[in-house]
Formats: sequence, C-alpha cells, structure tokens
Amino acid sequence: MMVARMGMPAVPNREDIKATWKYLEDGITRIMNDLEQGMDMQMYMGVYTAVHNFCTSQKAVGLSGPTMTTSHRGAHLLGEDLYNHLIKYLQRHLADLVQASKSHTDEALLAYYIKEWNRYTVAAKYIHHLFQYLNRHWVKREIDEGKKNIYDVYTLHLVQWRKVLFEQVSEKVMDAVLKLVEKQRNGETIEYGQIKQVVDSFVSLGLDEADPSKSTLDVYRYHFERPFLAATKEFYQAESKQFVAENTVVEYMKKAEARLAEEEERVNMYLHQDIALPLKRCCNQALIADHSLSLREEFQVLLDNDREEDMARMYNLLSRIPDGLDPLRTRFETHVRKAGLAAVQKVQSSEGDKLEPKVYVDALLEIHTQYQGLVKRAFTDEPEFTRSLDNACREFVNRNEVCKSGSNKSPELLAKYTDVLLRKSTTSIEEADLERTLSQIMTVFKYIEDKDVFQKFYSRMLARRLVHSNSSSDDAETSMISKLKEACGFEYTNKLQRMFQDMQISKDLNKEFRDHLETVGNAKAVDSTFSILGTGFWPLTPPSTHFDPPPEISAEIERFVRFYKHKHDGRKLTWLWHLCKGEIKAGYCKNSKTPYTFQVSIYQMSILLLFNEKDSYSYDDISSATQLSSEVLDQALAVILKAKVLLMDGGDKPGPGKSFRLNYDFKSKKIRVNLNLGGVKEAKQEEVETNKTIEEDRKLVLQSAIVRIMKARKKMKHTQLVSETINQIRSRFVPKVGDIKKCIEILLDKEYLERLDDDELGYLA
Amino acid sequence: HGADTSTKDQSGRFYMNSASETKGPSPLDAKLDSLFDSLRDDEADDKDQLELESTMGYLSEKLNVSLENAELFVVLELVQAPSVGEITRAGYIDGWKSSGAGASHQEHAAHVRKLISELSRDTALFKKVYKYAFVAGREKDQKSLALDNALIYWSMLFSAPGVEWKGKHDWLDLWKTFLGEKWTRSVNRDMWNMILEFALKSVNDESLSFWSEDGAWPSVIDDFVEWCRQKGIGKPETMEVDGQ
Repeated sequence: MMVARMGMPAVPNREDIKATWKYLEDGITRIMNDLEQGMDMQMYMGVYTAVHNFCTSQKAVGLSGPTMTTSHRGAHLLGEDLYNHLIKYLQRHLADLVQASKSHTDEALLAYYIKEWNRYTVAAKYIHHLFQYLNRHWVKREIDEGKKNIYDVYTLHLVQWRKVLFEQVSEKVMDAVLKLVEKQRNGETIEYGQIKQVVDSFVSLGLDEADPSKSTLDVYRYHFERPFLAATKEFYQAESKQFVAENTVVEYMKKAEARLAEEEERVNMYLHQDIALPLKRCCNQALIADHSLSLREEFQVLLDNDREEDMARMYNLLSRIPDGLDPLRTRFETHVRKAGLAAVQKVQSSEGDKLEPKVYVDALLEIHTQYQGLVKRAFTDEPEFTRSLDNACREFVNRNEVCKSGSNKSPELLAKYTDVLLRKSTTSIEEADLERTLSQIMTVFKYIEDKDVFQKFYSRMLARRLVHSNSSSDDAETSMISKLKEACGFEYTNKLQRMFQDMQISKDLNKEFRDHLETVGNAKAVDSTFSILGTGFWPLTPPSTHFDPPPEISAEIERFVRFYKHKHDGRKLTWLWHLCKGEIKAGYCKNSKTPYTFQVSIYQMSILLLFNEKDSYSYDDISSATQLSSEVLDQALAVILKAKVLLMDGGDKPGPGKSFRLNYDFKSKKIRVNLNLGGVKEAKQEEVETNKTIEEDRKLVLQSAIVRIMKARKKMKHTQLVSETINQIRSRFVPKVGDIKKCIEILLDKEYLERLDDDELGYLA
Repeated sequence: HGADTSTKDQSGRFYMNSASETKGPSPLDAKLDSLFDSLRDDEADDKDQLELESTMGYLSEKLNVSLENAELFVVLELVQAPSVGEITRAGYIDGWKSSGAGASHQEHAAHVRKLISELSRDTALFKKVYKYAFVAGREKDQKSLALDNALIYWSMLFSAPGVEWKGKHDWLDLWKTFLGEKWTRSVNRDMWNMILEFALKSVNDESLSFWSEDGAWPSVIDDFVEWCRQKGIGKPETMEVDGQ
C-alpha cells in the first residue's frame, strides 16, 4: 500500500524477470485494493509494458519449475510462468478475503460479499485488459491447442473466486439471504437489492467447463435455487399448517392466494426468472396440494351456501395443481343433479297431477340458469365444468319425480309449454319476451333425450294451432321451427314446415275459389274457408263417426270439390269433420234485439240447423238426420243443453227417447256464445294416443336404422350392430338394448337378416 | 358292398338325381326305386310320395325306429322328409344313396341304428337332425313352428337317444315350464336354432356364465335366463362359491 501511495517506480529491465514480476505484482495489488484511488496513465502503460516484457523475455531464468528444462519454447514458457504467477497471487488474495469474511455474519456478511465481489470483478476487468498480451498469445494458443483449465484472464479471476472464496463462503452467504427473505415473508422491510446482487454474482460464476465462452446456471441453481426452494417449502408448510389450524378454510384460501401472488412478485423484484416455475410449483405444492383435501371438503359447504366468490377462489387455487379440479367437477355435477331433482320434487308435490307445464319447465330452467351462472362467474366457463353441468342437467331433465313413469313426460310438458306460449291468449307476452322464452325452451330441449316425443307432441299441437288459427304469431312459429331445425336438422322439422306451407297454399286456394264462384255467378250462400292438409305431414286421423253434413254445407262442399278436382285431378279429399267449425246467427230469441252468434262445431251446426224446420226433435230424429254416432252426438248435445240453447224433456243425459226443443227464451250476457268446447277427456285421450304411436314409431325407426346399417356393412357382430344402432338413433331418443334386440329378431323373422354364426348377422338383399 | 362311395357327397345330395339321369339310372338307383315302390300303397299314396300311413309303417316296421323320440328325426333328416308324415321318392333314393348303406331295408335299419347310437356324442350329426326337425315339423306354408309341436319335438330331441338337456338341473323341464308361463307365440327358426346352441352350452356350464346380457341371444333366451336366476338357478359361479 505504501508503494501505491508513492507512485509506481519505473518499469524494470526486461531481462530481469524477477524484478518484472515484482513490478507487476505491485501493480495488480494496487488495482485490486485501491482502484477507487484512480489509476494514472503512467502506471497503466507500465504494467502493460511489463506484461509484454515478461512474455517476450529471452532469458527464462529459474522462476518456474522443471518444465523449463524440457523444452525451448521461449515466450510460450514465459507466458505460462506469468499465468501461474497470477493464479498464485489470486489464491493468496482470495484466501485473505475468506479470512476477513469470518468476522461478518448475516446482513453484514452480505454487504461484505457484495462489496468484495464488485471490487474483485471490476479489478478483474482492468487486469484482463492489462494482460491483453498474455490473452492474445499464450492463452489463445493454449486454448487453441485444446488445453483444459486455461482461461482468459478475466475468466481466470472468476474461476479462482469460485474455487477459493465461493466454496467456503457461499453457504453462509445463502444462509444470510434466506434469513433476509424470511424476514420479508414475515412482513419486515428488507434491502432486497443485496439479494439481487448475490443472485447476479452466483449466476456469473456459472462457467461452462466444456466451453468457457458460454455460461450455465448450474452454480446458481445448485447454490441458490436449491436451498431457496427448500427453505420456501419448509416455511409454507409450517405456516399453512398453523394457519389452517387457527382459521377457516375460506380464510386460508385468501391467505394462500395472497402468498402465491407475493411469491410471483418476489421473482420480479429480485430473483432470477429461472426460479419462477420451480418456485411456483413449490408454493403450489405446499400451499394448495398439501391442503387440497380440506379445500375440497369445504367445496360442498360453499356450494350449499352459494359462496360464489369463495368458489372462484377455490377454483383458481385448485386449477394450479395437476388433477386439482376433477373432484370438484364430480361434486358439482352431483350437487346440480340433486338440486334439479329437488326442484322438480318440490313442484310435483305442491302441484300434483295439475302440474302446469310452465311451472315444471321454469323449475328446470331455474336450476340450469343458476348453475350456468356459477360456471360462468366462478369457473371461468371452463369446458369441463360446462360438461359436468350438462351431464347433471341431462340427468334431472330426463329422470326425475315427474318422469317416474317414463322419460316421455319431460318432452311432453316442454312441448305443451311451447304450445301455451305460441297460442293466442288473453295474457299474450311481448314479442321480445316470447323470443327469449323460446330460447329458454331450447335450453331444456337440448337436454331432452326423447326428442322424438317432443316432436310428436309439438306437431300435434302445431296442427291444432294452425287448423284452429289460434297461433299467436307466424313469426314466433317460424322462429321456433328454425330453432328446432338448427338443433336437430332438416328431417326433424320437415313435416312441421310442410304443415306451415299447406296453410299458406290453402289461403291462396280459398281466394281462387272465391274468385271462381264470382265468375260463375254463384250466389254466396255460405262464407266458407277450406284447408287442404297433406296426409303424410299432418298428425291427423279421419273422424271415427259417420256424418251427413247439413244440405247448406254439402252444397258448398260440392262446389268446392268440383273446383278442386278441376285443379288437381286425381287427388283424394278426406273430410276431417271433427276439426270443422263455424258460426251461426240465431235470430229467434225473444230477449235480444241483436241476434246471438253461436260458435259451433260442424256437428253442433248440423243439429241446430234442423231447428230451422221444426221447434222440436226426438233424439232418434237427430241421430238419423246427422248420422252421428251416439258418443259424438251426446257430446255435441251436452254443451248445447248446458248453455240452454236447446232444452231437453226429462232426465239429464241425452239419449234415445229424449226429445229436444228450441229455447226461445235463451239469454246470454255475451253476443257471441262459444258452444264448441272440447272435453277434457278428449285431450287426455289424445295424450294416450300420442304416446302409443311413439312406441310404434320407435320400432320402425329402429328397424330401418338396423336395415340401413346392415345394408352398408353386409355382415356384423351382434354387439357391434347394437352399439352402432344406438349411435345412429341417439339424437332422436335413447333406445334400450332389449328393444334393439327385439327389432333384430323381427328382421331375422322377416328374413331381412340372417344369423351367420352365434353372434354374427348377415344382410339378406 | 355295392355301395358307390363316390356318390357320398353330402352337399350335392339334392342334385344327384339329375346328374346321373344323363347316363340312365344306376343299378343302385333302380334297386332303391323299386324298394320305394314296394313301400307305396297304390290307393293312399301318390306316385312319388309316401303319405302318413305308409311312412309310419315304413319307419316302425321296416326300420324299427321309435316314433316317440329323436330316432324319428334321424330318419326324416336322412330322407329329407318334407313333413313329419311324408317321404318323397327323390328324397328316399338320394338319401339312401348318399348314406352308402346299401339297398335293403335290413341294411338301412342297421345304418339308422348306428346313427342313433352316435347321436348323443356326434354334435354335428345331432345339430343336423335337430335343425331338420324345424323344417319337417312346420305346418305347410308356415314360416314358424307351432308352439305345441315345438314343445313335443324338444322333448323328443333333448332326451335319449338324443342329447339330454339335463345336468344338475333338468333344463328341458325348466324351459318347458318357462314357456308355459311366459310364451304364447309360435317358434321361429332363429329361436329354434339358438335354443340348440343354448342347450349345448348350458349342459357344459350350468352357471350360465357364457350368457351375457349384451350377447346375441334372442330375447326369449334372455328372459329365460332371468327367469332361472330368479329361481336361484344358473347363478354366476362366484356366488355359488360364496354360498358354500
């Protein structure tokens, strides 16, 4: 040090190796220890020259070991000499630093380490430059010749630091780092810049032995990451264990969430990015995976209490560990299914047999809406949770208390609710609301397994709406059909669309008929409208009774038939009397100046028109005039009698022997009186019928599917055929294996198929 | 013997007649032809067919075959009888020719006796006889076998000298009881044939473990298995072990 203060002496004679090294050593020492004092040009040049002199000196005198005697490589040997001198110097210097470090601990040690590290590396850069001659000649040649463990001068400094100082000090430094981090984790403010510098130092020491020009993270990973992760794990294991013991699970989740964010921030603040992933994994294990059991236990509680925010928190936490969410999904599915079943049970027990379709569908929708919202808000609409929701909904929509007798009930009620919505009624809803409600219907429809049942009921009710023209809006009808088409394809809605078309064609046809009547100059006797409904598309059957329409009507019908046959020769017209209706005016009533208008079925019309001739008829008279079966006749009469349009002599039920007379004293508050009231019995019967045709249709659908498959495949194993059939049919309904088997047997019997082997079937063309 | 082994072609049996006609009838054909004529009753039978009386007389007197058990069907199959009471000339001649048994009733009777003795062991033979019973047993113009007849034929076929459908349990009896309780329809070919498969399997495995719901068995057999299991018969083996 004293030398340094007095300034550098002149560069010794180049032949005096010993003096030259001495001169160099002084210079290096000054750079190492007193760089902050600055360095003058004279000294810089002096050292640089001395290095050059040392390496080019021809007189290699006894400074080095015995290698010198074995060869005559001059500058080469002298370079090695200088290199070895430098190593020895650095080793001494670093040993001193190690010694000095022993008086420091904790943060003071960190400060010491960083200070010395900085000083050392800055000095190393200078020395590297000053030793440029050595680098460029001797070191380069050695490396080019493939010598191991020869480095450029700067790297040599790092290697020596690692070998001498780091080996002995790093563990203590790391302890200090970890203490500091723990302090911070415990809420204290720390000087984290120090840690950052330690990290940088450790990273700098990662030298690739195979290729000194590259660096690796091995040293850092082993000496920093490994102990850091171990300490982190230990810290969080201990902390979470204690926290869970003293707090609720929900509180714990908040804590864990905060901790996880904190650790992520820590990486950004002062750690190397390389630790980000392993640190996250380590925290996830200690904070989440180790507690996943109790978290999952809590999930049911959260579900039961609609704690959406906490469920979102739990979702976020468990989504961070592998397979963390599966058990949640299972519980969620079970929960939703139970909720759905309970909701149905509730409306079933309070409404019983009078369960309104709307009430039922609303109950289903409410559960779906609630949990769809939860999936969206708490589970980020994750596809797997959506699937669990769908599974649960499919279960409780198709198999619940209301469907006890069979899954037919859900599609039936859904179709009925749709009918209520699409029918004209006094409590019509706004168009926008209607559209929204129809979309909700489709939500439930999506879950219905027996889509064929829905179709059947829907088409029957659509037919009724169209025939009786009491559909609330064509737009809504069209919208609903296109929704169904979108969900199930063209085939599903084909007939529905054809029904619609028929009504449109009929409208035009009626207009043509009117025009036709005018041109032939026919007196307009009856104001009539005809609907021509294609037999294959409408779910309608001919009436079960004979009927002779009244002459006024049959005359009109004849005119129409003539007109129609002229247009479409060869088409057969079948009259669906039971769907015909009309209005007649009653001008005979004593109590009213304005005549009453009766809305009647055509059967009732034919009865009432008789009374234009006479005031009184016997039952048998009416029966033979109309040709109606007694069942239909009685039903038609019952409403007329109840309204007191006709009066019956004796007894309360119409039948043979009774007689009927016109009531001139008929009174009603309304001018229009509706006598065309179908019985409840009729509706029930239709329901039973519809369900019966479903079974028949399914058999046919199954058989044609089987034949289709076998036609394509020619030969097939029985089990394969069964599962293929299920696949093909599933979009319409879920067939039972037993039913498929029976259909196969029918086809075997009809010789569409043959049994080739025990379990192999063949197609017979 | 004079039997021509080269004509013993099972599958070509139906066509043998027309094939040999081009060269004129062989001596064996002629012998069998006259043997058939000797069985005919000019008043009751058509030229080429034995009716019920003649058939039964032939079976019981000339061949010494029982009309009450599987023996009957062995012969009916051999001569490809169109129904239980009829034998055609063509069937008779072709059948015996390809059997290689010779051209006398004695030889025929011996041949039949041999077949009968092998019936319960030779599964292929039994299957052939069993399946033919359906063909011969149907009423004319019917695709399936009347249930009453089917029940009788099962009893005949599934007992000695046929394959006995019996083991620890009397399966034949169970099957007939089951049908009596649950079945009213006639028996179609598939049901008839599959019962044979089921019978052969069930005598070897009385736990019915070979049966599975997803298997290809006709549903009547599924129902039968279900019915048996309700009675505690044909339980899966593991359960029986548990019970011991």
